[in-house]
Amino acid sequence: MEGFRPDRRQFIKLCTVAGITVFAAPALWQLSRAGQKAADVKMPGWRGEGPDPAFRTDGLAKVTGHKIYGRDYRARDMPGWPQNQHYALVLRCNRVERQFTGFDWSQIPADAQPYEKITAESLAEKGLKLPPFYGDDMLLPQGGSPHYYGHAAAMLLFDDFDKYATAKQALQFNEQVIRFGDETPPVRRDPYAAWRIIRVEGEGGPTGEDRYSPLQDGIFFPQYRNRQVEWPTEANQAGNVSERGIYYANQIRSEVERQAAVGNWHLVRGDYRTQIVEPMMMEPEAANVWLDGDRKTLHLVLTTQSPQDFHEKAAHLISQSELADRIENFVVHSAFIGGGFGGKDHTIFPYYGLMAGLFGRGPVRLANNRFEQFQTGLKRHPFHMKNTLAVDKQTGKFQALVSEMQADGGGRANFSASVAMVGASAIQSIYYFPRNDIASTANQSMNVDSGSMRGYGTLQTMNAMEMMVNQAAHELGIDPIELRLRNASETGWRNTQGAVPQVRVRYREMLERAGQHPMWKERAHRKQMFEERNPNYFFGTGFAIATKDFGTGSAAPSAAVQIDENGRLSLSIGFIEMGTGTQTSQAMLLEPLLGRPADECHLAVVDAWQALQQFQTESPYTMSQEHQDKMSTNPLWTPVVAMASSASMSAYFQSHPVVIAAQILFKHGLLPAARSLWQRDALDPAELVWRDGALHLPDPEMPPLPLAKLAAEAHRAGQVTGVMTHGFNRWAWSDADFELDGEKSTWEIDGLALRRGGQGGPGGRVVAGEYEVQKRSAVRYPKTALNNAMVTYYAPCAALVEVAVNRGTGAVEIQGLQNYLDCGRPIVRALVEGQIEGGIAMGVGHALYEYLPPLGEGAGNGTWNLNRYQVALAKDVAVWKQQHEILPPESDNDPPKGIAEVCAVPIVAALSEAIFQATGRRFNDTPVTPEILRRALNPEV
Amino acid sequence: MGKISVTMVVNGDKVGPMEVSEYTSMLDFLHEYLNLTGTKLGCGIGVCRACEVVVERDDGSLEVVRSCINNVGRFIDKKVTTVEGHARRNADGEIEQLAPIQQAFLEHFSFQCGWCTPGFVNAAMVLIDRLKREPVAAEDLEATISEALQHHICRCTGYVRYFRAVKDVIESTPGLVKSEG
Repeated sequence: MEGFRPDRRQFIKLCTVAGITVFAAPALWQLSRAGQKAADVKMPGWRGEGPDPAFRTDGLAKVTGHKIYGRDYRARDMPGWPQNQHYALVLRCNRVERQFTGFDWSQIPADAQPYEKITAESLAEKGLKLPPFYGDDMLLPQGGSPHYYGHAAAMLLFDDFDKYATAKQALQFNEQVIRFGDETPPVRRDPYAAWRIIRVEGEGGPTGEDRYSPLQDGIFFPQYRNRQVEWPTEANQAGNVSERGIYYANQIRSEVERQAAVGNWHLVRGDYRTQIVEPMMMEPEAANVWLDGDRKTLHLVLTTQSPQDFHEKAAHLISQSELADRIENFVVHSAFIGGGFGGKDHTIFPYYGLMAGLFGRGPVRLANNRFEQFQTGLKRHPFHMKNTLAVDKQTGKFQALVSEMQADGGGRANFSASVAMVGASAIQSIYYFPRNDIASTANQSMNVDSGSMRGYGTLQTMNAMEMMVNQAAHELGIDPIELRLRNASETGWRNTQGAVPQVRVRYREMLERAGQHPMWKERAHRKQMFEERNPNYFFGTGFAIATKDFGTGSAAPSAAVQIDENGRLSLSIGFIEMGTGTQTSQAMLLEPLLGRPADECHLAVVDAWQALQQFQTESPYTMSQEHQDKMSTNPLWTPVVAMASSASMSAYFQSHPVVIAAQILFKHGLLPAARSLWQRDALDPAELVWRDGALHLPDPEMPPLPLAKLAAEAHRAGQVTGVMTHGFNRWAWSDADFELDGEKSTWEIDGLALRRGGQGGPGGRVVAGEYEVQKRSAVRYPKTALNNAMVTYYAPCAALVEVAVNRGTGAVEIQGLQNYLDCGRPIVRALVEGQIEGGIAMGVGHALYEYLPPLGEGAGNGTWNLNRYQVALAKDVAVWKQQHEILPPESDNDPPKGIAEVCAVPIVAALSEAIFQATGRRFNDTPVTPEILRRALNPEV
Repeated sequence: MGKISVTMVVNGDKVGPMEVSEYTSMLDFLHEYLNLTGTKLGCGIGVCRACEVVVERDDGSLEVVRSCINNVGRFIDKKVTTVEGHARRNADGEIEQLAPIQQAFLEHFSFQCGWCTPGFVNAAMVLIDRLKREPVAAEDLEATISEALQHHICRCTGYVRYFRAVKDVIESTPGLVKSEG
């Protein structure tokens, strides 16, 4: 059997975590026994001739049904695995108000008996516990009451498909198999987190020093009493951070009331609620796990957005269990995922797959069907906001924002704390506020847990702001775009946290473009004309804009660019392909710097980075400046070693170390080779141009140098042929000094390793042993105080939409749609356009259709699927009429921005306003379903 | 559990007779028995259409059938084509030429994650097959595409690029659109 052996070259050692050595296997499609040729999915011609690639690097595989997704692989596809696939089924509680008393195993058909029943007691026996990030009770112990709807109680393992399918048929909606006893009070816990953002501008206005702000003064936290947040009440202008904060918060609130009372300020005040939303990524989660007992090796095929995090946590989990001496190695088989939208980021699902594998007598496959995915998958947090926007009646200038927001994180800890923080910091949208008091709480509930779904809190809060702005414009008699122009923040102005955005803001330009669009300028006439022609419909036009922060405040991307003797370029990155085209766009980044795109782009690489020898210590969010300063003197220390993938992160953050690696490869590998080949001691890089894959000098005497020739010379002369970089970004990039080839250089990275010569692994994969770490001589990390800034990178997007509302049914039909986006410099335009169009569909669903009720009627009861949960279809998104405009980049040096989330945002409030303009009915809550609208329009029916 | 004997032609290859559990869906049969995983599970209840496969009717015309809600028994002795079966391959199984609709989906960047792609490929193949017999007037083309693909769910690219790719293929394939006059 061609099984795993640690010495096999195709398995690459990544790192050792808690005594377990983690190996990366080659991309699955390269080794698959599925009977399809690897050549099938190589992409001859993907680059094409034009400025953009002809198609996606993964396109051929996807359009021909090749096995590439984690869910596709069965045991028989896996080299070295036993042929017989086992299957796991999870039994879950669909109620929470009673004690769980055990199981009625007689419900399992006689011919479909599992060989293993895993319960909480089984896990406890082996000392298997969830990583603390997820809370406790992975399986509910007998005698307890479920913490939330959908809480898992047992896992059953079957040794063939028919038994599994038969048992699943019998058990999935079975009310008898899990037994419940006495009524119990609901499980309640303290909120996951609470945040407060208070700012009052100082004498110097938007760009001057603040009187008080989180960035300047720091942040403070509440007490929890009776599961509720209690903010400090002591107010003192000269006191500590909380006393001063409360002083200014009180000032803001009393000023709002006073100015409104005397008639100076107009207030828009209301409750704004968003619903629980299912990410509905098309591939439900799956895992296939095999414990090869003979070789003490655990193989894992997963569908996660955050593989690095899983492997690290899983290794710790096992090392602290009774199984520690049974497992020495992890082999990680990387695969593509069929959509994520945050629903596969730090999800608990892979841990259930892991447990199934640990108890399995063969490779075990755990795969959610859609009912199970609805029942257990991470959701978008529902928010309930109580907001007040104060506007000066004379000038139309925004004077204050007061918001109290509650986010429901569900029953299990996930990213609720940070979603509540990001939502709070985003509610300002594109506007400048001289004073704000924003309080945000992430609450525990008995709903299915919510996570980092697309928008990350901002879709919820920014749309509330846009609804308020539209209402203010209407009530003050100011054109909505004009009101936005009066209040749009400018480059260099402070946000609600007191931080200054790090990218140039182009809100004004976007607003002015939208203001000139015929759909906007002629909206009154168009409404009149449409309603005359279509008497059964109301017609309305709505506009909204949003600016989505991107970044986490602790981005830590890595990259390796290497070239072989024949000039083939390979790129390795830590990010995975969620469908956004990361592989294609990252490969394209090399072209302007090295003459051609990467021939190979390896994703989800977790192995290579050990060459950097970096280590981390404390949380990057909470470490002190003193700790950072002290640790920075160690040239191998970094605040964060690795990061998870998310869709708004690759274009800006992952691109950064790729570009720098390519620049270093050029400067210290190809440029010396060019000097040698052209026999010139000095070459000005600014004079050199890449054309047709060759380096050209503006000197007709000098023959162009094809990349292959340069590569051969770099290898021959022992120049740099591979560069590995690691960056750290806390709302600004760190930079560090390195001495390379006798020359001191400063790069915006904090870790560097170089290869000279070297062969590389299969397909140009990085072999860490070929790299030598380059210790930096000095490093400058962004100050830890920037953690208080919360976010500073933004990409704006605006939506202008026309709707027709059926007077009888309440159905909303989009008649026209114009979207605007500033994505910086797009890497691959068609991919950005796909994001815009996809974001609109998801935003339309949020605005008009998608809805999961809370608690017992909600997804956690296990009966939800697409027959009840309506997502936007082609007919709902004006598929033949949609238009969009991508703002041209201001220069070739504009960085690309993270845009995958913002595209889904402004359409929500734009639709809400269009419905108001059509019907005169204003809705602060989402979704506005046809049924809600029908009732509002026809209360008598 | 009872068993049934299954024979059919899948992507040009004769399959069976095979004994399978009588309640096996066509999707599970493709995945678990034939190891053809190109056909995707989306909802499992026949709503999202990611699982559609192409079946040849007795008169040679094509139809799409949802494999997740149809028992494998419905396909006995049928000719079935899945997403794996549309491209022309050489003797080694390597792809030589894609179907025009596959090529168009590639060039239009129609998909991102690609999970819904097999359903769109199959539905578009069947639409094109129908238009060969029943060409559509140019002014009805968009409505015809919308009707044929209306139930398919895509979560990444918002349908636009699929629909425009299908339109391109139909407009550039002689005989699918009625000539004027």
